[in-house]
Amino acid sequence: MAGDTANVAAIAGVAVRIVPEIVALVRSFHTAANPNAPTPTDAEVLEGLRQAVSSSIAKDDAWLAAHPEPK
Amino acid sequence: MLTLHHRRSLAISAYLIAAVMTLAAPLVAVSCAHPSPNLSPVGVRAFYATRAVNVLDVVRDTAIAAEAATPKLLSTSSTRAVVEWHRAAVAAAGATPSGWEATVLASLDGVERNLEPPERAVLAPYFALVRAILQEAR
Repeated sequence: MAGDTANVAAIAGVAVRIVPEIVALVRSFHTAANPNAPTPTDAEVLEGLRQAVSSSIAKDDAWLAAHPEPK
Repeated sequence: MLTLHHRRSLAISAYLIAAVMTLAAPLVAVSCAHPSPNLSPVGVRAFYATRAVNVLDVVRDTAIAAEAATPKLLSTSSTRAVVEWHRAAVAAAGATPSGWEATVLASLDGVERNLEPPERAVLAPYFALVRAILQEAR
C-alpha cells in the first residue's frame, strides 16, 4: 500500500512539474496561430531558434555533468 | 485482489490518460499554428525547428523529472540516454537546414526501444507529440 501511494505521488509530482511547461508550449502555438500576433522577421525567427538551441543544450550539459556515467 | 504490480500499472495508466489529455491541447494547437506568411523558406524552416526544440525540451524535462521522482520512474541510465539523444536532436535541428527531422525520428525509435516497458509508458505520450511535430515539419 505504501509503495502504491509512493508511486502515485511520484507520477503526480512529475505531472505537476511538466504541466506548466506544456501550458507554455500551447500558448506559444496559439500565439503563432493568432492573426493579430506580430509577424516576426526571418532574422528574429533565426535568432529565436539559436537561443532555444543554446539554452536547451546548456541544460542538457548541466544535467549530464551532474550525473556522470559510472565507471 | 490486485497485486502491487497491478496497482503500479494502474497508477501509470492513470498518469498516461492524464498526460495524453494534457498533450491533446498542443496537438490541436499545432493544427492551427502556421509560420508567418512573410517568412522566407529559411525562416519557415527555423519556425518549425524552434517548435520542435520546444517539444523536445518537454520530453527531456519529463525524463529528468521522472528520474528525480521518489521512487524513480526512470532510471538514471535511461534518463542519460534520453538527455544525450535530446542534445543530439536539438543540435541537429539548429544546425541542419533540412533533413534533420528524419534523423531525429529514427534515433527516437532507438531510444524508445532501449527503455524498459514501464519507462516507455511514462514517456510514450511525449514521444508521440514529438513524432507529430516532426512529421508536420517534414
